[in-house]
Amino acid sequence: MSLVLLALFLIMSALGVPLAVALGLASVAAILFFTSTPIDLLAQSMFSAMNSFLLVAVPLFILVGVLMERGRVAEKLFDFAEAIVGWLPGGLGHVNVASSVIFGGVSGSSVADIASIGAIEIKAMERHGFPKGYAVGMTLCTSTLSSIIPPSILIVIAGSIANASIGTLLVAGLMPGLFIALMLMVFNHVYAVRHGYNPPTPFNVRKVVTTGIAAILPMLTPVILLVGIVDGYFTPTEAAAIAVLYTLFLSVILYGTISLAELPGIFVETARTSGTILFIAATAKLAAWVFTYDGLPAQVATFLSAISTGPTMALVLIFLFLIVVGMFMDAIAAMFILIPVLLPPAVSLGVDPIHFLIVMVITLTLGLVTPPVGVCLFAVAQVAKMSIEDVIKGSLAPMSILVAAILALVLFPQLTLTPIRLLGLY
Amino acid sequence: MSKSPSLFGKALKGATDFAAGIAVFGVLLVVLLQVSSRLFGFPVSWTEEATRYLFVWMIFLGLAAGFRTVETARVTVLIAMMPSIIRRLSVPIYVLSSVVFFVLTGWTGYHLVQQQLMMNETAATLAIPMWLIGTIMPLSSILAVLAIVESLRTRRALMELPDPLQGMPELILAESATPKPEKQP
Repeated sequence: MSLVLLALFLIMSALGVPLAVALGLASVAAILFFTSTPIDLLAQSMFSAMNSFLLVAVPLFILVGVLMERGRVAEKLFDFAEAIVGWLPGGLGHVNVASSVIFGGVSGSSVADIASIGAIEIKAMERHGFPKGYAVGMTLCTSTLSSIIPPSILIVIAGSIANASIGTLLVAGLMPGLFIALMLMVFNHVYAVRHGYNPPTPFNVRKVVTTGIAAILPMLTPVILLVGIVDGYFTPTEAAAIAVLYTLFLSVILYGTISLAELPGIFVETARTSGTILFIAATAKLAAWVFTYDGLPAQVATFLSAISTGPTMALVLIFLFLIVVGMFMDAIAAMFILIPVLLPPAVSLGVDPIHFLIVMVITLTLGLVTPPVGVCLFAVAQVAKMSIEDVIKGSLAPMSILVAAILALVLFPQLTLTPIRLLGLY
Repeated sequence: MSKSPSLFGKALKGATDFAAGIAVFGVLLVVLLQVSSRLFGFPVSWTEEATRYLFVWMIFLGLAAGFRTVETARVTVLIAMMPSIIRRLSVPIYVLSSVVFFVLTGWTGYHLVQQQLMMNETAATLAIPMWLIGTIMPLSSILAVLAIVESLRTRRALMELPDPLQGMPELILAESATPKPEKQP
C-alpha cells in the first residue's frame, strides 16, 4: 500500500504534477484501492493538518524575512561582518561566511540569503582578488547556514511535524550552524593563504564600532527570539509575532525603507508564500495516515535494524538516503513525507530525536545547493551571471567541506545536544 | 510571456488577495494580543483558537492564490528531459491533475461542512459554528480551480516551459525582494 502510494507519487512528480497534488492523489488512490475508508478523509485530514497553532510560526517567520529583505538591512550586516573578520587572512571569504551567519539570524531562508546578500558578497570577494568561481561557490555553500541558524523556517516546520519542542530545536540548530561556519572559515583560510588571496588588512576598531552600531538593531532579532523562547516569556509562534512587530518598527518607522502603503501587498505575498509552502503539509497528513495504517515505520525500523549495527550506522544510512532525496525533492516536501516514516524507527534504534531532526534539516539543505533541483544553485548562477556548470566547478571544494562538516555532526551528536543540555532545555 | 488578467481574473485576484491579506494581518494581531495580554496579567482565552482558524483560512486562500501565479512547488527538471511528445503534455497533465485534486477536495470539503452543520459543531472557546471555518475547504477548492483556469490564459508559459527556478517554495521568499508584476504590457 505504502509502496504503491510512493510509486504513484514519484511517477506523477516526474511528470510535473505539483508535489502536493501528486501526494494527495496518490494517497487517495492508495486509500481507495487498499482500504474501505471513505475518501472524506481527504478534506478532514487537510483541515486538521492546518488546524495547528505551531505552524502559525511559519508565515510569521516568512513575514519577518520579507520585511528584512524589503527593509534593505543586508548591506548593514555585510559591513559589520567585514569589520569583524575582514582583517583575517582570507578576509573576504570569512566575511562571506560571517555575513551569512548574521543574515541567517534575521531571515531563516537560504534563497533569501543569496537574493539579498549574494551579489554583495561575490562582488566584494572578486574586488579583493578571489576568483569568481570560488566566490560564487563560497556564497552558494554559506547560504545553507540561513536554513540552520535560528530562526530557521525549515527547523520550525520539522519541529511541528515531529511534535517536538520548536524552541529547543531552534536553539539546537545554533551550534551545528556555527560549526559548519567554522569549518568553512578554516577551509577558506587554508585556501586563501595557499593561493595568496586577499592579504590581511589592519584591524580597525572604529570601523567595528560604527558598522556595529548600524547593524545592532537588526541583529537583535534572533536575540529577542531566542531569549524570549528559552526564558519562557513566549512560545515560538508568539516569538515570531514579536519579531514581526520589531522588524515592522525597524523598516517602517526607524529606517523608513518600507511605506505603510506597501504593507497590504507584503501581507498578501506572505499568505501566498505560506499557502504554497504549506500546501504539501496538508496533503502529507493523508499520506502519513496511509503509512501508519500500513505499518511502514515499523517495516523501516525492521529493515534499518537488519542492516545497521547501532544508532550511528542507522543515522549514517539515513544521512546518505537524505542526500539523494534532497537532490530530487523540495526539502519541505521531503520532511513532511519522511519524518513520520523515519523518525520512529530511528528513535527505536537509539537515535536521539532532536539530533535526528537537526541532521535531517541540515542534510536536506544540501539539496538546495546541489543539481538537478538545487534552488540556491540556480539562484546564485542568476545573481552571478554564470553557467550552472561553472558554479558547480567553483563550489566543489567548499561543498566537500560542507558534506564533511555535516557528516561530523551525524557522527558526533554531542555537537548538537551538549549546548541545549547545558542550557537546561533538554 | 504573461497576458493581462481578464476582468474575471482581476476580480478573482482582488477577492482572494484581500481575504488572504486580512487573514495574515488578523493572525498577527491576535497572536500579539495573546502574548501582550498574558504578559500584562489579563490573559484572553479565545486567542489561540482564533489564531488557528484565521491561519486555516489564510493557508487555503494562499494556496489558491499560488495556483493563479503558478508558484506551487513541482519538479520540472525530469519532464524537461523527456521526449518532446511528453513535454507537450506537461500543461494538460498539470491542469488535469490539479483540477481533479481540487474537485475531490471540494467535494469532500462539502461533506465536511455538511457534517459540521449536522452535528451542530461549535468552536470550544469562541462558540462560533465550525462550518464557518470548514467552508474554506470547498471555497478554496473552487477558487483554486478558477485560478488554474485563469493562469491557463495568463501564465501558460510557466506551465509549459520547465524552468528549474519555478515552483521552488523557498525561492518565493527571495523573489519577494523583486516583486513579480501580475500584469505585463
